[in-house]
Parts: sequence; C-alpha cells; structure tokens
Amino acid sequence: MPNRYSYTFNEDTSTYNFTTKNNIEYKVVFIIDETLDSVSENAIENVYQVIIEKVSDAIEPFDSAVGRTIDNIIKSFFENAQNSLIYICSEDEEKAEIRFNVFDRWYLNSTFNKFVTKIDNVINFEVNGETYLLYTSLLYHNDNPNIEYVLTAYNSIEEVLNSK
Amino acid sequence: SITKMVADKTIVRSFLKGNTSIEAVTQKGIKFAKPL
Repeated sequence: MPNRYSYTFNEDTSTYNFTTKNNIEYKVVFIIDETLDSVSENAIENVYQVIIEKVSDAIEPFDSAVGRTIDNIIKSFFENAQNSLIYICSEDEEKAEIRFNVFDRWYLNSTFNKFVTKIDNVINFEVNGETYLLYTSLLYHNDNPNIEYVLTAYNSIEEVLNSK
Repeated sequence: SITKMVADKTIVRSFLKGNTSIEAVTQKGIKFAKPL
C-alpha cells in the first residue's frame, strides 16, 4: 500500500491532480478568498479556500493514502508562512456540521498541526428575524508575520454579523 | 461576501468535474493560487 500518491500540478487549470490505486481521480485547488480583506481596514492577502473534489463518479473504498496525499499538498501550501486557509460552511449547505467535524478531525491528524494553528468559530446570527448558523475555521502558519491583521479580520466577522 | 464564497465553491467544484469552463470561472472573478 503506498504511503501517499504522487501528484502533479496542472499549469493550465491550476489544479493538483492524483489518481488512486482504484483509478479514482482527485483534484485539489486553492482559490483566493477576499472575505477577510472585505472586513479589514488593512489589506489582507494570501487567504485561500481549499477545494478538494473526487472527480470520478465511482465509489471509493476507504483509502488512507488519499488523506495523506491531501495532507502533503496542504503542508506544501504552508511552506509560504504568509498563506492562510479559511473555511466557511453555512448550514444551508449539505451536511455542514458533519463536514465541519470531519475537517476538525482531519486537522488533528495532520502532519502540519505542529506549525499551523486552527481556530474555529460557529457563528449564530440573525437577519430579518431569521436565525442563521455559520461554521467557520481559519488555519494559519505560526510564523505568519501578518497574523494580527488576519485574526482581527476573522474575529470581526462575528462582531459585524451580530451588530444591530 | 460569504454568499459569493459559497457560490464560488460550487462553480469551482463544477469546473473540477469538467462541467464548467475555465472561462466561466474567471468571468466570476475567481482566482487560483499558484504553487511556490
């Protein structure tokens, strides 16, 4: 059983690609996210969402090498200490709470949790009398020189959503 | 901003599946990260 799969970066599509022993294809992409920048008085750069997609329709038997491969891609992403990952899942998305908990377990078992910190915030807020629930996480490198600005912006999401 | 973030995820997933073109993705202002 391989420890992890080798992967390639496709310059045309900006995706990381790998195929498992069961011939299941996965793609991983990082997209620039401007949510924190939009709530900050300081310019916030290098904040991304990671999107992982099993491209093949076939059902994948459990394969621990998939998780290790994704772990390795994300570990490489954090070689730039200024990079941060934001995760926001609203409750109207399918299985939001389950995904949030899976994301947490995945981080706790990752190989990079010694130098990357994850903070969570489940935000309850009200708009026009309706209550919403937002699952959020932020992952940042412990040596990120801009972390003060990033954390201020991340924390301000809840403050603004709960303002009158 | 959060609504856009959720919508972007949906478009990118569709792109990764091959159901949406890269042009449609970039038209939405979605930018991809390059590796180191």
